[in-house]
Amino acid sequence: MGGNEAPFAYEGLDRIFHERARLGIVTSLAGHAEGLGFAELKMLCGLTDGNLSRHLQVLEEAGLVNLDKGYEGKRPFTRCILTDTGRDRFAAYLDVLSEVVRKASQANAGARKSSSKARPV
Amino acid sequence: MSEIDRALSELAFIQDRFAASTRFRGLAPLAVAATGVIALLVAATESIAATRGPLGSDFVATWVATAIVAAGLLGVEALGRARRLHAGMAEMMLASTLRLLLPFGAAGAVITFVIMRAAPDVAWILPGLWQMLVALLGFSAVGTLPKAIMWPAGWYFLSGTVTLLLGAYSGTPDPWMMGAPFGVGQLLVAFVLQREGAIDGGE
Repeated sequence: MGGNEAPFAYEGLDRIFHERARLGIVTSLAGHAEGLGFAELKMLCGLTDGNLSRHLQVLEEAGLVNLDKGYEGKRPFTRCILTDTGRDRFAAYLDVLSEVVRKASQANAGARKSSSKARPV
Repeated sequence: MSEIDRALSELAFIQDRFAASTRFRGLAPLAVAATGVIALLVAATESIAATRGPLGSDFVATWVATAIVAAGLLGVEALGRARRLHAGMAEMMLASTLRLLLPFGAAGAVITFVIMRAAPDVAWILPGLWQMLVALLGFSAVGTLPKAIMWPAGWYFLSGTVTLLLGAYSGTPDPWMMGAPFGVGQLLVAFVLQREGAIDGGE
């Protein structure tokens, strides 16, 4: 389906990102080139261990996030990093999302203009 | 501010942070190395010309022209490479890189213009100042280039210091005050980019 035929199809709104918890995870990781530790990510996104693990697994299986498991001192430590594919796809997602909001803003401005015209003087 | 406007500004903020934390892959090691070789060649040619008489304002004009050629070479290569390697993020990455680069470029241009206009007899200070600016640019780019870029940046800082001292003692600029620092510095940058590309398995 061409973009011109269905301008509101928004096929670029990747379902993997379009979920509240995963959007929070990816947005947090997007600002950190070196990635974030599991505990930091949990705190930033306000998720439980189980929830975060589940969403990270979905992102890892899609090749969008890398989970480096190792040790920090004697304690196990997991570093979560957006992969290059993840960065490219999230950038495309943000582009489409911006487009959606921009169109909504234009529609809103248009609706306000026509309602002010219709108002009796 | 409406909800929609707030959403748009939050999205712009996320995109900015995203671009600032993404490694810029537009710089081609080969093109960067070529700019180093150009600096060495220009210095060699200028030093031959210097044996026939003082270079005067030609010294600065030659290096400004060299900088423009080098920037053009890197810019054209970066445009193509960024579009190929960053795909959907290319425009964002290029804009973020330009935002980082332009203040240093503008500072260099203004310093050069003012010195050549108002105090051309202290033109010896320019090579050291240019190197210091490149060093600061390198340190500022640590977030978007490989971390090892600190080493070339450190080199430029050191060579800038030495060049300022040498210039202060001699009172005249020498072609090798530019050729050696930029020749070695750019080759170092190319090496860092090449090594990082090999580690990442990229180009």
